[in-house]
Amino acid sequence: MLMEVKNNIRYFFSAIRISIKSAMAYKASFLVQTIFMAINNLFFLIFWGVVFKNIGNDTGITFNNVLYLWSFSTISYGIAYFFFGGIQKINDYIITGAMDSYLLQPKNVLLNVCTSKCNFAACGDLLYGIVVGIIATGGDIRKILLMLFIGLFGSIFFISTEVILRSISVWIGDTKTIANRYVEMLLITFSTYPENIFKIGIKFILYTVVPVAYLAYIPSSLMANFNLKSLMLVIAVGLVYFTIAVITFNKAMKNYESGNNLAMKN
Amino acid sequence: MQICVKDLKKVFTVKNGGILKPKTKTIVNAVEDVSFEVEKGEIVAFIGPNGAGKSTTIKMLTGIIHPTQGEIKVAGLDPTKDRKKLAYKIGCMFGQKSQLYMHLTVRDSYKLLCSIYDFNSEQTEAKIKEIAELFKIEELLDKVVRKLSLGQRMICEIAGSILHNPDIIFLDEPTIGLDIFAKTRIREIIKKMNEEKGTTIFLTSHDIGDVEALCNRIIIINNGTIVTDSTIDELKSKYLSKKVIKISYDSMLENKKLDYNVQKIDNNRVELIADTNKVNMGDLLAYFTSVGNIVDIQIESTPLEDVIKDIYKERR
Repeated sequence: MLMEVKNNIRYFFSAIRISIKSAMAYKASFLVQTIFMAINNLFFLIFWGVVFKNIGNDTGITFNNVLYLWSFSTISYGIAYFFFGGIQKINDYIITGAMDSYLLQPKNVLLNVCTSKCNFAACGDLLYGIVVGIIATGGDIRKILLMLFIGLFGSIFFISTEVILRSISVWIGDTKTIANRYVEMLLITFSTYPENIFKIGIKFILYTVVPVAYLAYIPSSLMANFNLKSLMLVIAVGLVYFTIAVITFNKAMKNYESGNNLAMKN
Repeated sequence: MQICVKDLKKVFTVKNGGILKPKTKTIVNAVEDVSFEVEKGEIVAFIGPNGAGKSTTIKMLTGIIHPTQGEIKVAGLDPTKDRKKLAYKIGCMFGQKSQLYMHLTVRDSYKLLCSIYDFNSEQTEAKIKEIAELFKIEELLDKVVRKLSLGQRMICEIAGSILHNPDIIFLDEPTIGLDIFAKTRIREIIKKMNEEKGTTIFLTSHDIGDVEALCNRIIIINNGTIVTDSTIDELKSKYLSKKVIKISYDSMLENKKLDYNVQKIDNNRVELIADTNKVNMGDLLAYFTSVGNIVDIQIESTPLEDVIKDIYKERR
């Protein structure tokens, strides 16, 4: 058991190294995507800055709150998609039969699939999130470390959501659009707006079906007022989501029907 | 026993219809009541026309998909329950799918494959060196995979599939799309693995040349069921008893009435088909020698390809 864990960790680092090396085969593309993603995110913060400066607000929301939200959502997103970019390929692998290669290898299929690709642009999100976080914490090392730790857990929500939504391709056909829209419109959008602006009904959804509260709202509040219970709640809910994702993926693999992967129009 | 399959069945449910049409389900029996055994060191050809159930069977044997019914033991393991353990004992190469990284060198792809099989860095280096020498691909190791020719890539794929010294290798169309030189090279490699390491080979191919060059046994599957399971020699003696005989004489055989169901008389040439199970070849040759002065004689077996085509048709 211990040996298997050790081998899996070794394999994880080899796979990440190879994925990055594969990405670096197109260095210019990697750098352009990383820089443009960071610039894209920066515009949103500039927008918020303009709103706070010129329009003002009476909601109690501060610019620092917004900085934390952006920091957590982009760090979590960056970790999930840069290191585990294969999560966005699960539906493709199922539909085209490319999952065969992963099922033939003596490794955990989910880990193997998740580490099979890295999303270059997410590196820009990760770096951007860290820089924004450093600004928000005022350079407080303890807070930065806490932020990175919670950000790591936040990535579980992105990973689990992608795994669940893309694995169900086995039963209902290609879920690429559903997964992309869900993550972009619900997880990312809601996690970058302060919780206070939403009414109770929406908040209920954001604390249950769409787990935005655990990847952005509670982590942001922890930075202002740390309390262990809230941190444990984030970790526990993360583990529940991850367990649901693993069960869904394993069930999907039992029903996987493979396919003959010829290059075809789609 | 390396592979033991008993009453294997796989059913797929195909959903039709959609938003405007009522949904219907069609049950497709992809594989039905398939049973066979393969001994250690055998090279078995598993062939059949497109859609016969070859790939579905291989995918069940390797643990990729789960059977609807039946028992499978591969290297003593149940692929549905022991997928990870089985992966250490089998190697797979699917001609239409790549396990190498398109944007990396062959060496880097092999390194990742070695880490999948838990090799440490020294074992990895030694293994890559050994496999490169065995397959004579030293000069390809530092080439980027996407820049290899199809033949080079196929050889590298096969080499990649045996890095972990598997006991059994499943090859699905290993020579698909290759020219005759690459095909010959791959056949030599497969034969060498079998002879030197005693590796069991389970092969599907539409190229009868692969079957004739490599296999000692042939299993033919059609419409999901096994129609023939015999050695190549048995198959040949059973189905290749018909010989095409072409005899040339030094002068024209004008309007001669000949025995033995001669099919064609073309000037000084006679052509007939004789079944060696029914006709005494000595008598036949003596008869045709008495007819005139023979200058040339050709006796050919029916090509294996035609035999298999006939079996597909017979058992459809």
